[in-house]
Amino acid sequence: MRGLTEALRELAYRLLREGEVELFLGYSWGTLPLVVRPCFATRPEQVEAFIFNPLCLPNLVKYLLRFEGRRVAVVVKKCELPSFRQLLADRNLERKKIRLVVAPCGGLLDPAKLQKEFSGQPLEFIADRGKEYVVRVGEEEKVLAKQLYLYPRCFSCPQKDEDLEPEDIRLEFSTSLPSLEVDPYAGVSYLEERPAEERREFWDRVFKRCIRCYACREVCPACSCHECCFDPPLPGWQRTVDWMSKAHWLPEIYQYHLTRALHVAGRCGECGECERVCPVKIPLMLLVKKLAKEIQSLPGVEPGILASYSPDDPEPH
Amino acid sequence: MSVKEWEPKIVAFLCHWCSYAAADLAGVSRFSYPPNVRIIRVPCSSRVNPQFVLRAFAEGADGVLVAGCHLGDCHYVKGNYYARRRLWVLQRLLEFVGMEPARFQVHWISGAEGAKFAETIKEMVDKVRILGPNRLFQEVKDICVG
Repeated sequence: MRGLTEALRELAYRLLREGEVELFLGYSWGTLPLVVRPCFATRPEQVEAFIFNPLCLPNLVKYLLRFEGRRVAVVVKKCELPSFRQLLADRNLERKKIRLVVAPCGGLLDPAKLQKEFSGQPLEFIADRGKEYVVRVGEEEKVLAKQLYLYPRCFSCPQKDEDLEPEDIRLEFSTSLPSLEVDPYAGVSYLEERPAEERREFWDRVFKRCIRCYACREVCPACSCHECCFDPPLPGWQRTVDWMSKAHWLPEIYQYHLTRALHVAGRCGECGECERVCPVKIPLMLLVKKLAKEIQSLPGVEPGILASYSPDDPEPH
Repeated sequence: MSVKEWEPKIVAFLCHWCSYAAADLAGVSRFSYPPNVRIIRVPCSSRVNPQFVLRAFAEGADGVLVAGCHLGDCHYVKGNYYARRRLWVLQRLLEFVGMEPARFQVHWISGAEGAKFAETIKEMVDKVRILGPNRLFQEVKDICVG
């Protein structure tokens, strides 16, 4: 997959040198093996750091908020396009100034699963053969079956990149993810069928782990309010309600997570970043997917669904 | 100090134009209903941010009731339609995390329905009494170590 990385660097070099964009947002290797971090290039000579491979997990679209009004190119995967569109709509970003670089992705791999296998050795991705990746570890070439190492969210890959502007760029590379036909709501349905008592115990257990670091909020492209109800209110006469204390207290952990799920309900692009960044591995996508599932059953589904109504809505009990 | 028997604590968000008037009418008409309910007046049922409900539960409510005008009778024309959709979603979410459905109810009670108001409160208190104290959202309030 060196070709893809090369193509990306060439593109970034050209865009930056010709001044078409002021900033190119992509990925580079992090300080730990198998970990990729976001990379910001403003000068052509910085493009050497860019990479693209199946370990490029982060969703970069939220960084666009830091560079509002500037001409930015950003590397995205197909699964991040819904969150990009939502961010664009929520914050009224100037679409003309943003250049999407859609990277061909044949499915991401879960670093945690790879870590066990390769215990921190650097990997070099060679090729994508549809059902498997060919990688080089040291001197050896190995084949990784996607089925085994795939990142969870890729099981429900959208497989389409629509609504691009003519200026947007699709990087060409032969890559494919066979349709896996996994029910995206399988986890939700499973939990729904458990007795209420068991569900309660499950959520008690996972929420007890929460340290309220708010990483899930910080990373979420749908959480882009200037003022957030979880932050202490600004001092002064316009002081609003203090919704939440700083105490590590289960009732407020519940309140935080349920409120957040409701705030992004109908706007969530299901990029799964909340779950990825959670340091205590709370299955947050379960909440989000549950709401997505319920909202889909409402009459007249459209974005921003909770800000509208239909006379045919179901009746609460 | 004698140990008091547990009594259900219900927080009721009542819309100013209908359900609050119904509560008033229930009083004027001398209908009796259990004193377990704490009424909070809101301008419209759509004023009830789902956070209010979650906050009430987090602060120790055993049940939350939201009541507004009948659909189509909203003082603000369509406020209760918005509320209906939002609160329906909230109910689904609360059930998903394991809350008993009876703890969070939504009713449409007009200003002329004092008897219905008293009846609703009675029914809700009975149901919550059977369910016992709300355990979801609850934890012994203690100082975090470390």
